[in-house]
Amino acid sequence: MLVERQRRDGLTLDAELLEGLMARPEAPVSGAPLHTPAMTTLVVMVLSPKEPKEPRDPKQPRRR
Amino acid sequence: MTSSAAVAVGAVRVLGADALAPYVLTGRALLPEESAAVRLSLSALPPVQRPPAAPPDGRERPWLRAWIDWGLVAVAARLDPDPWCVAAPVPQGPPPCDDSAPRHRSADGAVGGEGWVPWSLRMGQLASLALPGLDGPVHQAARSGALALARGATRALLRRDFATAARITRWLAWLAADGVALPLDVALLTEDIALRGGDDRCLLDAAIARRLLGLEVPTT
Amino acid sequence: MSTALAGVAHDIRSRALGWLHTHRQLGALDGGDITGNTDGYKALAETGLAASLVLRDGTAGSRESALARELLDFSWAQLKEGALLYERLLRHPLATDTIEGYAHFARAGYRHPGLDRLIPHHAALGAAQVVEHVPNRRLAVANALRITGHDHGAGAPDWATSARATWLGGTPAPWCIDWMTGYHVTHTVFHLTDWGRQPGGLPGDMAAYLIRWLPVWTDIWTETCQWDLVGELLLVGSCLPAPYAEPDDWRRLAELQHADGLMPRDDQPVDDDTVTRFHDHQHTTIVAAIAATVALARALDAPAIGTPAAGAPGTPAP
Repeated sequence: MLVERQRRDGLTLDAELLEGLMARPEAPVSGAPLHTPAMTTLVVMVLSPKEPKEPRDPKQPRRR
Repeated sequence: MTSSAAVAVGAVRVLGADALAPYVLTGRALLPEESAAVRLSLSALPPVQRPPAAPPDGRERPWLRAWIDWGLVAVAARLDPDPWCVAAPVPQGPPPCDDSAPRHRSADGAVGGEGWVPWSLRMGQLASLALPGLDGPVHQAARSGALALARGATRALLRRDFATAARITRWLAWLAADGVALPLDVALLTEDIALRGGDDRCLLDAAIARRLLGLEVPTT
Repeated sequence: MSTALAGVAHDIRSRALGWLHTHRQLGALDGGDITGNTDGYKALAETGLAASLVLRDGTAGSRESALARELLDFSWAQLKEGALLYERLLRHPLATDTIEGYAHFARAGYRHPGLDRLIPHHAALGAAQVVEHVPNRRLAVANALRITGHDHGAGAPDWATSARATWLGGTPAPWCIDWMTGYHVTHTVFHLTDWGRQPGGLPGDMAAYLIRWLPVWTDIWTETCQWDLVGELLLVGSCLPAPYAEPDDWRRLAELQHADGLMPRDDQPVDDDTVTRFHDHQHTTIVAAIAATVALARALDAPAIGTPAAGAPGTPAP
């Protein structure tokens, strides 16, 4: 910390150390956002639907 | 003189006018023991009589101290019922930083001068001057550098450097109190820093900013 | 942009195009099909975009024009001269990616008659508004309709509403941004201005907002070496009514670019394997090519870089 020398008549402060404390450098490493973690889409229904499979072949029409 | 008192004397100088912020903000007169602590601090290392030129020309650290000392003396002298004869000369003000400034000084030193990034950081170092009732060359530079300050504060906040953001935001709050229109919502900015910043030093700056903005100071 | 900087941009583009051209075969569609090849499909469309812009703006010399043509030829052939896009749109009517991709080929003169009939029909169905896209994606569809000439009449896109619905359109507190939002911002600007061709497409308050805050975002992501996003932010700067460009940004990009033209996406080591390198850094190299192309076009239009207008540095952001 600050070096103070106690002399007979009082106190001195070290200029360089004081100036060092006054100078508040910015944070050396940036915390800038890289990525907000993926947000799950909240679905209204309790179970989120799975995508239905694509039918490979068109269905044969039912005979009535 | 106890060792803790000696440390307090050092702390007063580092804080500058902020050491007396409670008095500035409430308008109460300085207590004799506070006045004594400030006078003792100033006698332990008198303010330089011939402050260096402003950076980037002059050395930054002695120039910062000269300004911080000036702020301390200006506030103490105003608040102390007893007369003050300790003088702190007015250092050279910072260069202005207008809207067209680049981010950093260009590598080839071409147009633009010093960039708003270093300029706003340096203003942040002088946040202790951003108090009601103080005015001068630094404040004048702030008036012409509202966008630079707003950019600097936003940059610091995005870097998650809350302490720096809080200091630069002090100036934005001071400007708002001075009636200067700003390119962002400084009340929201102050709240954001205070809520997310966490640490004590940043909270002091945020509290002072809130008072400058005329917002309610939380009791907790 | 000064003459010296235009030279830097030209050099970046030239090298980037060279790399993309040299390695284009690595972008071939596996199995000749879009399905299951999402990344490859996207990359082909983006290659078409970059090459189309090189030809659009007329700043390319004969060598670069030839490279751009060959990139378009290759990509178009991979898409079976548009047939893959057409079949996909027939099968999946909500797949607006087909329209978005096709527009750039069409602009460069590569047409598919089926798509030319199908797209105005989708415009009439309201393609730019109906699909539940994020707002900046709606602008992509709108711009695609504009490029292909199908943005009039019943299906005209609602530019104003879609623009206001974006993050940028709300001109929010400038610190309420993250990496992904950065890309939303860039894409909003690209589509509103048709990749810098029409800076006036950006509403005035959004342009003023960008002039204020683009330097901040460019700074923080430069510091964390996110070159892909930074490249897009430089491109945004070139799309503004009063272009924003800082010389150091362009010099930095030129220095980062590898000798063979690859533009690294970040500060992580670049893989030695040719195929991996291509897939990892193709997007960033495409971005560099486009950014340089638009910067050059603006440099040739505008007589000088004016000091960026501050907009209204008084009023708090709405």
